[in-house]
Amino acid sequence: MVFTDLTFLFGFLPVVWLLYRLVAKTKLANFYLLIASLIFYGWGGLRSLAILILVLVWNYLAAGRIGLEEDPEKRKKVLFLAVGVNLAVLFFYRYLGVWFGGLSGQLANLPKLMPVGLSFYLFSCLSCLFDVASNRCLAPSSLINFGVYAAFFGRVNMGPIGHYARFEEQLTSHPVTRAKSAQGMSLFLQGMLRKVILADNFALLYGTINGNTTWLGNLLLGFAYFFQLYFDFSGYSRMARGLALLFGFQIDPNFNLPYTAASVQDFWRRWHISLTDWFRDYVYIPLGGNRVSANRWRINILCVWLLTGLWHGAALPFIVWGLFQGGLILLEKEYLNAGLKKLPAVISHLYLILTQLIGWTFFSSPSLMLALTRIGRYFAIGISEFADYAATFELFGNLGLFFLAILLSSGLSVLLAQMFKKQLKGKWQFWNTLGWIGVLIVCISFLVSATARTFLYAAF
Amino acid sequence: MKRRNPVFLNIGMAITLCLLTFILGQQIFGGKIHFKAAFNEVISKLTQNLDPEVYPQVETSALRRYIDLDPAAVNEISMYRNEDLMSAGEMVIAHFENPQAAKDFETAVQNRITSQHDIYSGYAPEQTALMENALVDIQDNYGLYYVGENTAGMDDAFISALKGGQ
Repeated sequence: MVFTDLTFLFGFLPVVWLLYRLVAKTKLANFYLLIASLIFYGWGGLRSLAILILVLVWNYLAAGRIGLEEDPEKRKKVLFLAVGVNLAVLFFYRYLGVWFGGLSGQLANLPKLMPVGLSFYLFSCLSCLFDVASNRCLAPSSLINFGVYAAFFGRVNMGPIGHYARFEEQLTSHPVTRAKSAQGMSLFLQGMLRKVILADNFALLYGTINGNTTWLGNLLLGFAYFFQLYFDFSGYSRMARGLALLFGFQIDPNFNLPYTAASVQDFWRRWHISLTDWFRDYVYIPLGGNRVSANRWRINILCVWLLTGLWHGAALPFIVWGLFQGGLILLEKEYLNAGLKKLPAVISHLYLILTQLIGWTFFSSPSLMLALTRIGRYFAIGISEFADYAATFELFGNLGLFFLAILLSSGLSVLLAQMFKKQLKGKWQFWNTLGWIGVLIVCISFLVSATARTFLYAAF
Repeated sequence: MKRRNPVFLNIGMAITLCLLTFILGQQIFGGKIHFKAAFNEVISKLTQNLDPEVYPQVETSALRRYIDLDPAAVNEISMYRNEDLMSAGEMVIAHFENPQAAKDFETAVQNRITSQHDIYSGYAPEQTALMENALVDIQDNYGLYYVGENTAGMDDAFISALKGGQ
């Protein structure tokens, strides 16, 4: 089940939410949420559900075992074992088939059998193990609470990845208030707008223009993915945060207008924040961060970005994409930072857009050769012609879509909303509600006509 | 907080690890999953990526013209073909009742790939390249044959549809 399924929107969510109101103030609240989350997850297959439950139990017991161990050496050994098992499960599904699939057909088939959201919920569990091992928090005392933390249906499929020490407090008390519910519904609708109206239409453009070898067609293809990925994942993240609020939980934003960044470092403080934080807290800092020799620090940065690439996938383009981001960050820290600050904002912003357009081209291409061919075409290398009828037609046919995308991804939409709020004063609430009802109706009509697509990041 | 017994935790961890190993082992040695996804749902998810004006559905009765397969031999089958005859783009989704039907489907589409490749290789290098990258994915009771751009994306959509749209 995904958030844009009609079964979820008109069946699962309202039923679970209404029933939750009955148990919200009782000791059964988290138990009820866990059962609802397992039903949500189990909808996609019982085998995946079994793996989720075993991973939850394993990490709950392992965290307890780590918490009990007072000898640091023994504690480290238990931590290695616990983390090793999690990484082995991830390796089994994600990498074994890609790297060793040639040995047998069954091995090659493994990535296709990977449970949905595995890398997201495994990373949430790992966060708990690391936090307990480093005494940031106590081991979870209740399997139910731990299950809600790692497998809450709002984020089990695609994050945001949880940070146990930061979230722990909410597990014992997450009251539902009217303000939280209103904010949650608003966030959920904002996410749906981004996913159904923007991301899915960019997906359509991507599918239509794919294979066009003109400069304009190739550029449109690049930007179609550039915006599709952003609205798809940021849309999902908003929906997840909105759902969490409906049940009283506060999840930190996963995106903060990343395309308005003025450098790659700044971009990564704004894009998929939960993953970037995870790698900073549990890989970069334990490796020594920047408190090591210059060469070791460079290796640390590249190591973190190689792992970020690998987290997204086992294929070569993901690894190259990760190293490309790491390389750019190193370049900025060592040479470009001073220059970028002196440049007019437009130029530094264009630099960011161009580097990320190239980055997402690696990310979206099935092979490294195709990625390099497409990147070459951005610079008019290997193009068939400047533009053809199909590319021009798609450009003019999608101008409104690009306009809306720029409005939302630049934050101008927030400024516009504030301006309207000032002007409309007392009538703002009415028009705001009416506007969101309109968005809901449009989104539902898209969903009913089956033009909505599955979420891109579900593949990771 | 009540102090937990390390022995119980160790036993619990050992049992969990055994169960996890058993399930993972089954995925390698236990054969494929029999997917319960409805045929219409799978079709709906896959055709989202095709423009219906460019890729109209081929009448089931005309299927034999394209692939040498008796439509009655499979449970359900749908084919979409690019209207432009110069294009190699096409997609077939089939739902099988038994392993033999899956084997027959695989043989039929492999023959189709060979013959199409031979036709295009003389004059249309781009279409030949598409034929070389043709996707044939048999997942126990479902099969997909796809010629076109972004085969990896289409395969992901296929698997996602079989898993129930996740």
